[in-house]
Order: sequence, then C-alpha cells, then structure tokens
Amino acid sequence: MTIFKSFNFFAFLSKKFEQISKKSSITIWILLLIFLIPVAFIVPEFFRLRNLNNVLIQMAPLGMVSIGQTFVILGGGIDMSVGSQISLVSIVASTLMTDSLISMIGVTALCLIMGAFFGYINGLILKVFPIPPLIATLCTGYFFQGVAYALHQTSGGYIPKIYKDVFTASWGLISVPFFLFLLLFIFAYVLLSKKKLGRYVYALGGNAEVLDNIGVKSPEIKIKTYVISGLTSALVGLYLVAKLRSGSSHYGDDYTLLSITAVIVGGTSMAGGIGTLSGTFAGAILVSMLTNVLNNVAFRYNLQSAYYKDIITGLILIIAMIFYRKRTKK
Amino acid sequence: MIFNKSNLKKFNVKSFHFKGVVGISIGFVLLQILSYIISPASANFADFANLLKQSAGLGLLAIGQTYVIITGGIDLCLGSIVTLVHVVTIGLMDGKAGNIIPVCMLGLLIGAVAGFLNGLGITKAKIAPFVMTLCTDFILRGLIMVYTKGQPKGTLAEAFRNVGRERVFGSISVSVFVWLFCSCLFIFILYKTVFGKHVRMVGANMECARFSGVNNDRVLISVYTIAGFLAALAAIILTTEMSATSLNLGADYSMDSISAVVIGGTMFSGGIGGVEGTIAGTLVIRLITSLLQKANVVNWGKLIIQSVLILGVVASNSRRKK
Amino acid sequence: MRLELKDIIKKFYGVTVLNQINIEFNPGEVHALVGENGAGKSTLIKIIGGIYSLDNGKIIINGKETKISSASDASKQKISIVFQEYNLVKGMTVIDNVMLGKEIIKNNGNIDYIAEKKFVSKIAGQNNINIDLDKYAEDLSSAEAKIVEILRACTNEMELLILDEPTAALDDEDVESLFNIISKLKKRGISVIYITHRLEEIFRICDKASVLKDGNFVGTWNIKEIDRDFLIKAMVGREMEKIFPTRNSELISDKVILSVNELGDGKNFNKISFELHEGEIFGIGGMAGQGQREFLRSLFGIHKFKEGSIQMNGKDIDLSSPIKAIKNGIVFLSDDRRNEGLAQEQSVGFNIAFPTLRNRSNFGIVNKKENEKVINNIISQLNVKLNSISQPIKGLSGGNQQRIVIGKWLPMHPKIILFHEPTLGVDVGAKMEIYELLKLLVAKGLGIVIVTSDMLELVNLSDRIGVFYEGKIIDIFEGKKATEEKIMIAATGKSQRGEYDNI
Repeated sequence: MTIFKSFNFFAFLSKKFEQISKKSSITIWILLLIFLIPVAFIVPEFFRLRNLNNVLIQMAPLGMVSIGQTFVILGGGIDMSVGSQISLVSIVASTLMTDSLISMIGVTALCLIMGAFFGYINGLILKVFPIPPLIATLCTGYFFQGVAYALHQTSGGYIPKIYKDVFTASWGLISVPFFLFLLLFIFAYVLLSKKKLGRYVYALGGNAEVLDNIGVKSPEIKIKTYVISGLTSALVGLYLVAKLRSGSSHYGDDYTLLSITAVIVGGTSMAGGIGTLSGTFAGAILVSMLTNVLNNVAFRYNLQSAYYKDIITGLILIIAMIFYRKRTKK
Repeated sequence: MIFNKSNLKKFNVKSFHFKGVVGISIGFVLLQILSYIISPASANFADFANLLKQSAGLGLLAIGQTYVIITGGIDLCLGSIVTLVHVVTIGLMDGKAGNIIPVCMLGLLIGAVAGFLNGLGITKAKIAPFVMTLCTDFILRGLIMVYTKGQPKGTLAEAFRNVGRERVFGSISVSVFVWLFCSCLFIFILYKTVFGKHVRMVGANMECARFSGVNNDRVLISVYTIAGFLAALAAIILTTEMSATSLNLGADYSMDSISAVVIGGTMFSGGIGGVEGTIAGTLVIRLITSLLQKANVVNWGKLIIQSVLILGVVASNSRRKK
Repeated sequence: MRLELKDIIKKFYGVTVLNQINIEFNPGEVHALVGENGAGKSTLIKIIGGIYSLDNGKIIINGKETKISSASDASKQKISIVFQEYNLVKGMTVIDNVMLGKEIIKNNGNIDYIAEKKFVSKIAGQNNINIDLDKYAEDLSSAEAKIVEILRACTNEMELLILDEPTAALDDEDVESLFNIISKLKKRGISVIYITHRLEEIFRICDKASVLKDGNFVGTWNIKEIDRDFLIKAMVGREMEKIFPTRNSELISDKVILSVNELGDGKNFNKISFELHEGEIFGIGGMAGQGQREFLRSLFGIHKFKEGSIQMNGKDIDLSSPIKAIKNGIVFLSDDRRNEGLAQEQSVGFNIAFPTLRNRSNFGIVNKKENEKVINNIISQLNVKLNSISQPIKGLSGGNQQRIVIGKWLPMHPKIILFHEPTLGVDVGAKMEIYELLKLLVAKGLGIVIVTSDMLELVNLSDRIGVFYEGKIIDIFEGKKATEEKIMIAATGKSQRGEYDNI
C-alpha cells in the first residue's frame, strides 16, 4: 500500500516538475549542476578561481549573442546570419578605429547601428516575402560573410590597446566581459518579461494569429526580434575585436550553431512561444564550458581531447532536441 | 502574370519546370558568351572541357542536394562529408594499389552512413533537416580534426591518381563522365521510377503521400543516404585529380550545391524541380566562380553573388506561387 | 446595444451564401442563431465582426447606420466575438492573454501587473467569472480556455458579445459556469448572440432564436412561444432536388465486409459498433465535431484508437497505418483536398497515377504507356474536364478535382471506401455524377462509409445512417425511412427511443 502511495507521490512530483520546468529553466540549471559533479572528480582544477574566471569570460560572447538568438527563436524564427554579422562588425571596427577617443566611441556606436541595421534587413525581407526565416537568414548570412571577406584586405586592422584593456579587464571572479553579459542579460530580461514587446514576442511565436486578431502587426514584432539579434551580434563582434586587437572574417564562424545550441539546450522551443532567457544563460555556460573542460582534461591526462569539442557540441544539440521534443509531445 | 483559372488551364506543370531549365541554360550560355568577351583567349574547347572538369565534383554533390530539396528539406553537411572522405581516403591508402578498392568502399560507406544518420534524426527524432544536418556538419568537422589532428597525412596510390588522368571518349575526364552518368541515372530515377515519384510526392504534399500508402520515413532516409553517398563519391572523384591533401576541400560545397539546385529551378517548398536544372545550375555557379577568379575577387564575390541569386530566386517564386 | 441587420446579402465567387438576412438583436437579450452546418451562421457573424464585408444591406446600431469594414471597427463599435477556434497563446498566462494588446503601462515603461490584475479581477467579479489569473494557458481545460476568451472580451468595453459554439467541448458543470456568466452579462444589458447546435441549451439560456437555412433567413421567434420540434422543422425541410440516384436495396448483400466493435479513442469517440455490408453505403451524420472525423480516420490508421477491434470478413485486422489499411483494400478520401487529398502544384496525370504506380511498374520502373493509358481511362470514364494531363491540378474545378480524388484509387479495386465529405466544394452537376459513380461502385460489391455534413446527401444517398452525438452513435436509421427531421432530432441529442443522450 505504501509502495503504491509513494509511487503516486513520485508521479505527482514528476508531473509538477514537468509543469514547472516548462515555464522556467530549472531543468537545465539542474542538469548543469549535475554535470559539474563528474567534472569535480575528473578535473578538480576546473574549480580553481582562475579557471572559473576563464569560464565566465569565455561564455560571455556566446551568452550575449545567444540572448539575441533567444528573442528570434521565441518569436518563431531563426537567425542563421549571426556568425557572419559578428565577423563583419569585427572587420569594420578594426579597419576604422584609431587612437582618438572620439574614434573609439564613434566606431563603437557605428558598429552597434550596423548590427541593428543588419537585423532590420533580415526582418524586412521576411516581412515582404513569404519565405522561411531559415532561407532568408542563410542568404543574408552568406551575403554578410562575402562583404566581410571583401573588406578584409589588410592583416587584421588596428585596435588601440586601451580599448582592449577596458573591455577585457578582470579581477578575481569579476570580469568586464562577464559583467557586460550580465548587464545585457538583465536588460533583456526586463524587456522580455516586463515590457509589452516581451508579451508580443511570445505571442508571435506561440500563436501569431492572435496578434493579427488584436490589431498588432506581427511583421513589426518580427523585425524587432531580428534587430535585437543584430545588436547582440554587433556587441560580440566589438568584444572579440577588442580582445584580440584585430578583426577577422572568421571570428563568428562557429557562433551561429553555438548560439542555436545554447538557446535550444536552454529549453527554448524551436517552434517559438516557449522558453526563457535564464535557460539560454545556462545553455551558454554549458556549451562554452565544454572547451574549458576538454582543455583541462587534455592537460591533465595528456589526451588530445580538445578535438572532440565539435563532435560533442553537435551531439548535445541533437540530444537536446530529442529530450525537449518529449515535452511538447504530450 | 495574373493567375486566374483560365490562365492556369493553359499552364502546364512540365512546361513550367521545362521553362525554368531552359531559362537557366540560356543564362549559362549568356554568361559563357560574356566570359568569352572578357577573355577571348578562353573561347576554345579545352577551356570548356576544363569548366566541365571543375564542375564535376559540385555537380555530383548537387544531385543529392536536389533530391533533398525536392523533399522539402536541406542538407548542410555535404561539404564536410567531402572533406572527411577525402582525408580518410588519402590517409588510409598509404600509396598501395591494393588498398584502393577497400578504401574507396569505406569512403562511400562513410558518406552513406552520415546521410543515413541524418535521415534517422529527421524522421524518427523529428529534428528539422537544417538543424540535424548542421549538427552532423559540426560532428563531421570534429571527426576530421580528430583524425588528422590538423596535419593530414598519407599518400595516394599511383593507380588511383591515374584514374584522374584518364580520359574517356577522347577528352572527357573520368570525373565528368561519372557526373554526367550519375545525373542521367538520377534524372531517370526521379522521372521514371516509383521511388522517384514517391520522392516528389513527399515534397509536394507529405500527407497526401502518406495517405497514398507511401512510407515517408523510408523515402526520406533513402534520400539523405543518397545525398551522403554522392558526396562521398564526389570526394573520391575529386581526390583522383589532386596531388595534395586539402583540409578545405569541402568548404564551399554545401553552399554551392544549394545555389546550383535553387537557380536550377528546384524549389524549397518541395515537389518541384529536377536534376536537369541542377546540371545547368552547376555550370553557372562554376562559371561565375571562374569569372570571379579572373577578376581576382573569388571568395567574397562568390558569396555575395550567390546569396543574392538564391534570395532573388526564392523571393520571386514566393510572390508568384500564391 | 440594439443591432439591426437589414437585407444583408453576401456572395462568395458569385455564389450567394447569405440572402436577405433581417434580424434584430436587443440589449440584455440572449439571441440564439441556429442552423445546419453551412447555413451561413459563421459568415453572418464574421460580417458583424468586420472580418467579411457585406455586398448589400445595412447594419444599424442604436438607430444609426454603421459601416464595419474591419475587426478594429467592430471593436470600436463595442462588438466582441469569441470564436470556436482556440485563440490563446499557450506559453503565456491567463492575465497576459487577457490583456494582450491593451496592456497597462507604468510611467517607466514596464507593464503594471498589479493594476492589470486589479482591473481584470474586477471585470471577472462583475461577470461571475472565476479563474486563476496566473495559470498558463496551456494548462487550462477547454472550458477554462473558453472562459478566458470571454473574460478577454469582457475587458474590452463591450455591448454585443457573439459566442460561436461556446459549449462545443464542455461538460455539464462547465456549461453551468458559462450560463452563470451569460446571465450576468444579460443583467448588465449586454446583447449576446449565441450560436449552438445544442437545442436544449437554447431553451435554457436564450430569449429569442433566429433560424438560417441555406443562407436564407427563416424567422425569429420568442423562445417561450416555440419548442424544439418547431425549431427543427424550421432548420430542415427542403424540396429534394432530383440529383440522387434511385435506391436499390437488392444490391446490399448480407455479407458483412467490415465489422467495428466498441471502438474508442478515449477522447473523441467511444464504444462505436456497426457493420458494413457488401454493396452498402453507410452514411455517418451529426453535427460537426461529434467524433465522426476521428472515427473515420481511425479506420485508416491515421488516428489511433485505444479500445475495441475491427474485423474484415470475419477476421481481426490491423489497421494501424495507411499502408496496412490499403493492403487490406481500404482507402480513405479526405475532406481536405488541398492539404491532404491532392498535390495541388503537381500535374493532373501525376496525381491520378500516384496511388497505384506499382501496378504498372516492373522492377520499380513505371511503364509509361500503360500509365498513360490508365490515366486517360480514368479521365474519360469519370468525365473529368481539363486541358491537358500535364496541367497543375489546382487549375481544375472542385468537382473535377473530386472526381480525381475518387478515380485515382479505382485501378486498385478497393474493397472499402472511407469518404469524408464526398461533395465538399463541388457543383451540382458534378455532385450528380459522383453519386452515380458511388452507386456504380457499390453495385460491384464495394462498401462505402461516408461522413457528411450535407443533410440531403446523407438522407438520400445512404442505405443506412448512423448519427454521431458526443462521440457515440446515437441512432441508426434505415435510409428508406429516414427524414431530415429525424436525423436532426438525433443530431441534437435525442435518440429514437425518446431519451436525451447527455453523456
């Protein structure tokens, strides 16, 4: 009798958990914590302050661009052009920037405007032509990449040292990159949960017809999500160019898939309408942590494990899609 | 063109596609003429034969992509399959002629398995084609790194490289022959076999296919497996003509194959198109590449022109259809 | 508000769907709008709601002639519609859904949740609505979802509320809650237009009833002055057009080719049992959404059932997928030609030949000559009008497309045809030919199960008729003895045995 009751209780608990986990990102945060357990055993040096700081610094760019991608995917779309936007912005920044303060501020502002503009183009194309976001952003992605190659004439351009110093300063566990990410996260969180736009984005992805019935123009909301994605991509391009003091048409290469992975692993549904920024946060940590863990493993055990990063990342996304699919299957 | 009922009656599915193929072929001819104007020295058969030779690998790959896009999907990992099979082939052959057949078989198997896994993920795990193939792409790239550790090794057997030097019917290289042969084979399959018609219906109306007794999963898995297989075949053919390993061999192939297929008249919406258009599309893409090479703006010019082309074709089709 | 519809006419592609509609709706009144499937109710309320435009006639609100040319016009006129289809965003809470589009914003640009909650709770209280505002929409039951949509309508300033089949998915308790809300609205002076097929509800909650039949306005009556039978008579009763072939009951043999036993899917239908004989057309009728659709699909393996069994010629068979069903000689013709029945962009020839390609192929290669012969055969036998077999099938009229929907299966010599809406979107001439074709087929020994919302078709074509109500077959009639009235009575829940079936 008690077995039966405890079984019922367990079933009740797991159902409750399922309900909560749909709305919040508890699942992925718990998974992240669980994942840290074997890490603690295999490579305990992971938890050294310096290393943790590195992890947070490394996740910052992915985290930032994934925030933008979250908005797009929540709205039922996808942005395949983030990688090339990042590269293009890095090239423009490194080409134009000089030592003067005005130049630094001006070029930064210009790049942010550029990112917003790229996003606007994406949204505009989708507004005018009834084509799948995948195809549209795949094409604009190739286009931006082509422009990046075209502009990448000299060897990397120039970024003043002070620009780098400002962007990459860190003390202990606190670092400017991670702090920037947190700032962006909080800003995005407020936008998504406390402003009208946030509601409309969820509605756009969940049931776009509802918006049309109310008189809110869904193409406009869509454009806004892509503009946000463009802004975050530009931000990441600026950060990378500051960190490496040079631009490259390849900086953004992996970011498209990685940002999608972070978002999906974090629990946002590919179809839109369901998901959280907090989940993306955890997803970004998980994905970027992989490199760090693999490097530590390689160092300690003298293995060539760093090469496995791409394989594992691809597998993680596949597994995440299968796992979360069960959630929407009902 | 106003699409009302009376106009539609005079409108012919086969002729719509036929017009598309004719259109792109004319485009190719015009482009070819343009290139002759730019560099008159190239107006000879040897140059044209060379263009064909350059197109063979892409053409072979694009056959598989055509089938995939006809079913309403997309395959973003074909380029990585090419690179992987290429490095594995060179790496394992070790210069020995006796290794040729088994190594090639292995290469083809790798491509087929990769495609098969794509098909599984798409049908059984219900993962969207672009996500699944993007993941496979990443995984394959990782495998390439693991296998080569950044430094591809190995040598090809002389007999193998001789295949690359062989000429069929006088001046047609083996690669072109294989490409054209496979194209004809797959055109035949698409138009004349039950399987081909199933492929088309799955892309045109998946539910209708299902209600007509088609095993949709089987069709899709087959299509992706074929795409992977053909990519591996392309890799082997390309490798016969190369003297050194290139880690970048497959780099552009994914995008190029999509361009070739789309401008050749096959539509993302599914069900419409065919390999004959892709042949013309391949030639156009390669011709554009060679023109850009002459103008010295290959890498960026290619991306910009192709992205605009694809977007243009898809956008104009989208407004017209409904 | 007082809403008058004067001489409203509406045409779609030259076909008149609403002909001289004159109805008055008064404040504080619950006014039922009744009619069969396709009578024009949906079209009428969409005109009031600004989604369709009217071709002729006037809308007069509180004595003033008003133009309603868009949904926002209707909102401005304080008209709200709650449609049958689900209109909430699953990933958002109740309060988010209710206030979508009219959020209350604080000075700093953030949404003022507290003010919103206060506002919505007040409105909910005013209208006897009880719902947890923080629940997520996807966790709501269908009843709660409906109530949320009504709550949303209430939060707009509203003087006229249109409810389209609000109780379609509700059980008795929920219906009570709904009635409570409607009573409150009534007391507040709001006009309610109530569309339903559940006649007993009309007599409980409505003050007046208007009947539409085939796009015509039949009349408006005070509920107190009429009864159920009167309404039914008003809804049906037509001149039978001579489009139906004569019945020949000798065709029906005693042999049972399909036997369904206590079939149920746990949700839409349960304990369905009937037998299909060789040479018989079994018609399934009933109001839309009573489970017929899912039931028919479960006989073809595209909808899963949980209990019961199916036998063909006495033996248990497995119909868990279309492939298996087709192997057993069962074919399914969908009501949705566009998305399921045909590949619209592909050629006529392709569509016709497709299901039976294997019959004309060797080693997987299709024999072109044979193929074309069969295609041309079907086209001429079924009298399909077209320009060329290579033209895209979307260019054909509905009637011709439907001929192909049937014809493409004939080379396979099916034993049983499951036909959902045999003549949807088909003109009268083609209808006749399709009926003749079906009769011809059963003469050869086929059995046909049709699900139709066309009452005349159901009554005149079927040898036997099963009426679905709330997931069960409430009655089976002999075709010869069936009348529209009898069917309608059954469709609204009353079985011949005289009991109201409210399960």
